[in-house]
Parts: sequence; structure tokens; C-alpha cells
Amino acid sequence: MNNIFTVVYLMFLFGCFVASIFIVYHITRYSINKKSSTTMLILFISVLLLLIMFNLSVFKTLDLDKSFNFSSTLDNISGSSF
Amino acid sequence: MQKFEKFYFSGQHNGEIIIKIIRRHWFNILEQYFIVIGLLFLMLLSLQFLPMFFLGSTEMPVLIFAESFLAILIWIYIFIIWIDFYFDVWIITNERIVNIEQKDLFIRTISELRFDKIQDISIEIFGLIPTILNFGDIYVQTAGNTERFCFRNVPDPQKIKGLIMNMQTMVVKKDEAEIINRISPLLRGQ
Repeated sequence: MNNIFTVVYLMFLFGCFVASIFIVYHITRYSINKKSSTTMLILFISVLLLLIMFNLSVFKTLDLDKSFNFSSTLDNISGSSF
Repeated sequence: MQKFEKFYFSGQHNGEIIIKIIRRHWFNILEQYFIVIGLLFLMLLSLQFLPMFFLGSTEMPVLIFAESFLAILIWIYIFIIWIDFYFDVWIITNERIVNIEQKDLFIRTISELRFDKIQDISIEIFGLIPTILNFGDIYVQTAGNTERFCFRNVPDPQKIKGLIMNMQTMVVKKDEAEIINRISPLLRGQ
């Protein structure tokens, strides 16, 4: 279960990464004022990195089997049917 | 005019001076941020009350993980809205009006209008909030073109209309003076 969740999570994270690349591209490419674009870039990237790092650290501590009781639920199902 | 010395837009001519940069009124972006504010409020509420009534100690990390992931999505969404607002711009220069229209991340149109092509300018302030906050639409009718040039939800439309009309008058007078300068030697020669 953990593996499936990891794959889904990484896919979502990749989607966020792609969206962030587009945002950075727009700010650097189309800005008409360098000062404001630099400020916004620093703000965007720094906060995004902080959020992603925090999210990754929380993800590492997660034990989904324990949190959602997947294994015990599966045991119960298999126990009741056989 | 010195205010916009450090500004530069793609396609700016040599010697072209930016006179005014107009973006939509701040209420327009605030309107879109209401969803974000609502979501942040819900996140804070859920962090405060869900653990008290529904969640045990094992589910708490899952909630924090979900909330922090939602925070990433909200942060990206905030910037997508900001890009839509910040890069949607009308630039009035001493030569023309440039309309750069940004829709989300992938649609961007640039059009321009020379002052001598302007035939008529009208403004429209529609609704209670636009009337109180003084923002609205400006429509510029051009010669030989059925489509109107539109500035949407811009602050103080009356003042911008006045500025465009002044610029048009100046450009037309300058053109007339240039024509007179050019043809006067020919007339004298005759």
C-alpha cells in the first residue's frame, strides 16, 4: 500500500514541479520590471522549497498501514471470507 | 515619466517612452483570492478541530501531510492568479497603446493601437462595488476596425480616458506639424 501511495504522491509532486517551472518561466520571460520579478521569484521559490521540504519530511514519517489500519482490515476481510 | 524608466516590454521601439502602465483594479485579484482565503481558513479550522473530535494520534501525521500538500497546491494557485493579474497589462507610450493579455499560463495575446487610429473612447462603470471603488471598462473605437479595444476593470477610467485623449491630441498635432514642415518647402518652391 505504501508503494502505491508513494508513486501517486511522486506523480503529484512532479505535477507541482512542472507548474512551478511554468510560473518561473513566465516571471523571468515576460516581466516588464526586473526588480519586481526578482522579488516575486525569490518569494515564490523560497516558500515553495520550504513547503516541499516540510511535506517530504512529513511523508517520510508516515506509516500508512498503521494510520489507516490497512493490514488489519485486510486480515479481517481474509479471515472472515475463508 | 521617470517612474517607468526601468520598465521594458518586448517590442518596445527605440526612443519609445512608457507613460503609464495600467493593470486591473486590485479588487479584481482580491475577488479571485477569496477562494484561497476560504481554503486557508478551512485548513486552519480542520487543524484545530479535527484532532479534538475525530482523529487519534496515529492519524494526526496524515492530516498534517494532507494539509501541507494542500498548502503547496494553494501556493502554486496563488501565483497562477498573480501571473494572470500582473502580466495582463496595458502600456500607454508616447507612440501607442500596447495591450498584453495573459489568460492563465498558456494564453498570451499582444495587440497595439496607434493614437492616430483612435476615433472614440467610452467608459463603463457597472455595479455597486465598481462605483464605490471607482473602476470599470474603457472602450476605444478604432478607425477602420469594427472590433473595440477594451481595458477591463481598470482603476480610475475617467483619468485614463483623459490621458489617452490628451495623447491622441498631441500625436495628431505633431503629425499635422510634421506634414506642414514637409510640404512648406514644396509650397514655397511653387
